[in-house]
Amino acid sequence: MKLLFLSLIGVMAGCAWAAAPKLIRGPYLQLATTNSMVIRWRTDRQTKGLVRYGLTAQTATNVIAHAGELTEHIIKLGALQPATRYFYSVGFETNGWLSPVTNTVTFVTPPPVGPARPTRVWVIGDPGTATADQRAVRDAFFQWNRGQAPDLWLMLGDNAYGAGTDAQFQGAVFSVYPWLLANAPLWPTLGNHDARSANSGTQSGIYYDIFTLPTQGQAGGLPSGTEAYYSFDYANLHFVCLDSQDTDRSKHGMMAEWLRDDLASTSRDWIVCFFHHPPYTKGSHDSDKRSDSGARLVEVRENLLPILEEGGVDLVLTGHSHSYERSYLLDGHYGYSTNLTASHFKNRGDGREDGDGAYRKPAGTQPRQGAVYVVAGSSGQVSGGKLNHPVNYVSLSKLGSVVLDVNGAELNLKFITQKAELRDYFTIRKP
Amino acid sequence: MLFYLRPFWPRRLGWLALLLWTWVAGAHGPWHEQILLVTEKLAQKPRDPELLAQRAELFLAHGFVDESRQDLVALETLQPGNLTNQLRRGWLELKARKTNAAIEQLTAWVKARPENLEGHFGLAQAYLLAGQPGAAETHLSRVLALSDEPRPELFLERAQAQVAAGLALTNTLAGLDEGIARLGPLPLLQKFAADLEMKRGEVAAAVARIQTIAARSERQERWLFLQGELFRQAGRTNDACGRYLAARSAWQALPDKLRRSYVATELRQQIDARLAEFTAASDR
Ligand SMILES: [Fe+2]
Repeated sequence: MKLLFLSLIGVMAGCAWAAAPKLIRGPYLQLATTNSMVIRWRTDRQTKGLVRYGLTAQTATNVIAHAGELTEHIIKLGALQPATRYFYSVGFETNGWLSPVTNTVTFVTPPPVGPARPTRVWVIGDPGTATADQRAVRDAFFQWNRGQAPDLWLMLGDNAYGAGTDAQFQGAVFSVYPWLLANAPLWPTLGNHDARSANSGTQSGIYYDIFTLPTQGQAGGLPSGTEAYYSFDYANLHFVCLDSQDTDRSKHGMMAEWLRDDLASTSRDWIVCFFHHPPYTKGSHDSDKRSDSGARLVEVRENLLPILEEGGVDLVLTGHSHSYERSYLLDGHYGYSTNLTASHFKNRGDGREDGDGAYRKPAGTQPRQGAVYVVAGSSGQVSGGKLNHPVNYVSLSKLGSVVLDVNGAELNLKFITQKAELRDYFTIRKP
Repeated sequence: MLFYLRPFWPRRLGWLALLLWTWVAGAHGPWHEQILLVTEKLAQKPRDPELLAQRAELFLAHGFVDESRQDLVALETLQPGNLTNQLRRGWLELKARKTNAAIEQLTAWVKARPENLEGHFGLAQAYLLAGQPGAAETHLSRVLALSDEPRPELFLERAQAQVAAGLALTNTLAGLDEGIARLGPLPLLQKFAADLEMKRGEVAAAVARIQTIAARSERQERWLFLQGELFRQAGRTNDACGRYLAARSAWQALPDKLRRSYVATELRQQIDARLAEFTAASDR
């Protein structure tokens, strides 16, 4: 009898447990615009999904549900105020909640065009090793940033080793950055390892299933028609994400043509472009070798850099080499490193206010003011190389991540190691 | 689904993915490792059809047409009459630029599998290579109808094939509008459509297409200039001049740092050159 009673309790407990779905991924923030935010999460079983949100934890009583019963939940919150903090949590059925609304799960909508405001971006490249090194880089950023979330963050590809499978994304992204994913919108680009389970031509596979990215210029910029490459705005910044892995990289391909038009259509003060394959590197990859990575490094440099520089790009962020490499202020160098001449350097100082001085892009009508190129592929591992590309002021085989701060006429970039040490920094100023 | 990408490929597009990938991007490094891996496995099981098929596809993806052909011949011997080998052979002949053989194989394949994207895409490429854009556009249309999220390029490729085949511009424009409806007002599709509108004398429609891009753009000078170009091409001098002047005003209103991109300075020179043309003409 006692045994039967215990089993009954067991069955009832089992039922009660089965009744509440479990949150196994997210929530994570996507496609942030000045008036909308996409919230995604995964549950262990199919259920209706809900988001409740509001301007304080106490007043988070607006509720939005999606249709049907799903395990992959995607809800877009619309009619939001720009530059406003919202408190939220996700739930199921009609009134079940997977987490309380607290001060620790919030998002801030991007500010509108207008007065510049301080913007902080966290940038990680090739992070997806799911190792202690990856977690150390994450923790060092949190320590350095005093536990605060950045305004947004970028992932420069190879987000989940070795083949970008769903399980690998779970282990290398969702399990490593749960708090950040819930508190700051993530904008990724496709790496070669991610591409083993994804296809840009058909926008299908795991990477494209996981991320909700703009195809219609929803977050600013011109519509690209594909999630493989896109642009978006944040305050006085225009971000451009290219697909250097799996999309036609030719000079007059669809991506290149879109890029020309997009750059000529933005009126933001700063243009930051990111993609996976670095145009200048002597790390675990070599941008002087056409055979490296199917000529992607060379093609990006020869075909896409001229468009970026002619369109006024200020900063280019890449990964692929598992190192930190940062250039001087450069312009017009599309050949091999042996063809580099003094004329390609717009400024050959360190770019530091307390050193040779910030890189300045002076007033006047003279075009082609230069850009800085950063390889930030050491957010999950380091793997050496000669680290002697002559365009670079700094080349480090150090674990770490990049913090990008833009405030009005000033752009500051810092490289923070896995021990939260500042190992490089520079400033670009525009009048 | 048979192909290399199968283990982590949830949808039906593995084969197409592989070929699109190599078509667009060229083959490279990691595939070498894959070939070595499969070759090692084949040493244990030399008559394993799955492995032979994998290696044939990898060779093809890597541009080793002859090696791929050897594996495929072995595979065909093991599996006489296997339908999927027809698709493989079709793509092999396409890569070998034997267009007639490719068309023959792929036609047979799509007859058996009319819903198969890979077959239609291969046939379209084969017909384009063979200089038969009319037939190519039929299969590109099938690819577009069968794709959930088609590449933007496909709409342009189809429109180009239709123009090359001399099809009615109305149909081509409708095809581009289908792309715009599905993917959004992509600048390149709208610009191509604007050119076609000009070809059929619809200047206002052409200008309106450029306006749809302008409506999404924070800056106007480039689009006003393009509209000026369309009016100029149509001989509507006053309208053209009006747009060039508006483009110049928009340019002048830009903050200094935006004017200093090479593209912006070049555009200013183009605007000024056009305006100088008109001044010269009115002085004569
Ligand atoms: Fe990589």
